[in-house]
Amino acid sequence: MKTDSAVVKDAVTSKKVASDKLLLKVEDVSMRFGVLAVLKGVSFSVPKGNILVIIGPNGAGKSTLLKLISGLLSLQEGEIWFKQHRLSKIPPHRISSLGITQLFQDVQLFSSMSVIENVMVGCHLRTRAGFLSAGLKLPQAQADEQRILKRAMSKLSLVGLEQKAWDNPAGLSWGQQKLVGLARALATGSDLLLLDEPYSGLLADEIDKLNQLILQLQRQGMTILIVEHLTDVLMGIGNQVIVLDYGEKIAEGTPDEIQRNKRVIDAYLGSG
Amino acid sequence: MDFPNALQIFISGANLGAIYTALGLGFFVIYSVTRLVNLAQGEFVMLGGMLTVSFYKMGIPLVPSITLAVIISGLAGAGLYRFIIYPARGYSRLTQLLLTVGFVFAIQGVALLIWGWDFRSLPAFFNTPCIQLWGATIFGQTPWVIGATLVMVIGLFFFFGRTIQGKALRACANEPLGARTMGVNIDRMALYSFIMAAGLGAVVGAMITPLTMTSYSMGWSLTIKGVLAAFVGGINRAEGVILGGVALGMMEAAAAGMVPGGYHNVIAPGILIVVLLLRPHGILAIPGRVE
Repeated sequence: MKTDSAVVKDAVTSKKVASDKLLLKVEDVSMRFGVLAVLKGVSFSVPKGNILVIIGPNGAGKSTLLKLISGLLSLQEGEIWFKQHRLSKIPPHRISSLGITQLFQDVQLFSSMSVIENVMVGCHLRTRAGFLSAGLKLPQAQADEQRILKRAMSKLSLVGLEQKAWDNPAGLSWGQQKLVGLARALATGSDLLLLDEPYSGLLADEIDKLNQLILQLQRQGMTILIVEHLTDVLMGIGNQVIVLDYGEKIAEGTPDEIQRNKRVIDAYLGSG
Repeated sequence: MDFPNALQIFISGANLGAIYTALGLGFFVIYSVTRLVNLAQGEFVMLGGMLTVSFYKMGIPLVPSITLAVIISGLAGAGLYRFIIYPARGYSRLTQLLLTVGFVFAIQGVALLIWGWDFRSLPAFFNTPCIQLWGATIFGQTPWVIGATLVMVIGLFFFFGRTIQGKALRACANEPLGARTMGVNIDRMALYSFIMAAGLGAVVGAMITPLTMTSYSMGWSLTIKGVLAAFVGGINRAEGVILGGVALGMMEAAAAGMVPGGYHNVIAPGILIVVLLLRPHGILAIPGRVE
């Protein structure tokens, strides 16, 4: 049986990873906003259980790529495959039910709800009760609510915020809000977690805590795709790195390979 | 002013307040999910009243008549969303607002063809007689109107606050992108909100018909009252809509009891305009969440 690093190496170099081990495959994806080409023929694959880090300077197309994967933007050219599903053929709201969830850079918590209610909305896909049974408070709906409350609380507990469950998210620190967003994303039960600049605005100890959580999730089998520009933070946790520059993929490899890549050093790492 | 008159004003105000609150709740439900002010909300009230009268006159008992009216109005609400608002979902709010006005004229035209110009009425529910209380008169239908409004208010608080489906509906208006990545189907939620609001409107229509009678053209004036109630209190909070509805009803009743001639009709809207000038988003609105 191949080790994780062997699978990554195959994915990155020889492209011989068996299709059942691949979770995500991005094929020749291009995107334009008017005359501006934001992505130019980007391709890569992500095996299950990997942490893929996408780095690049501002305007490199990183966040656009995430939005294409999560269905928030429609594909113009190319194809994205997730568990053998062509995402271009799937309505945006159903992409989440396939197992993809996203934590936004600005988190986008529901400010009219408590912390626990935010996380409960993440469990929305797991409800069995419909509108009518929920409205009429039928036994099935009540059992469903209890099950979802328990699940949401367990996700809050995972990020260490169960004590804040009934607070309004507006009263939490930025780092805590990010963790609530993470708990909400985890509550969806997705296999692929997209993190858009998760470290922005975090303090050093919050960054450490988030890294530990990310590694813990990976150990539990989750595949994680992180877009970030703080390269020093990421080299420690990513086992696959892609570098974008002006919408083009200029390098792909393990963190060590990327750090030695002359083109990356010239275009990005060296500039810092 | 003597006590019986004051009591009469209070009772009339409570009755009107309940009606306006119930009207405002329809606006609240749709706005909570879509951020759209549905100016056709009053037409669902008209439909509810007219359909209940029609079914009742066919010999169908009252409760099944109301149920059928609610179902048909709900379908009309679904039709408004699916065939008019949904195709225009990428357009501006103003365009969508004008489309709801277009629906008003369409539904009024259909109602005119079906029911004609005549006003129609229902007997008070279950033949409840008028009640005399310390010199004031309570119409037999009034407790039903207030009771139905209370049930709607409690039901909506429960649904939006305690059920996962209600939370998903609120999430759509709060952070649509966030809701979508959680797998919430925003279009479906918007459809549900239109069905719910139309159903609520139909209940109001059935409840008030024994008091006010109903005709094909009654919807628009009710829309205006509902909009006033919702915006004065704060359309993005149920508590605001309740406050706005009760305040509007009480002011109207007080003005009718104290101001001679037809002037009372301008006092309540006048005060409300002043309130809106001072707090444009409504008294209890949550800042930043009213567009």
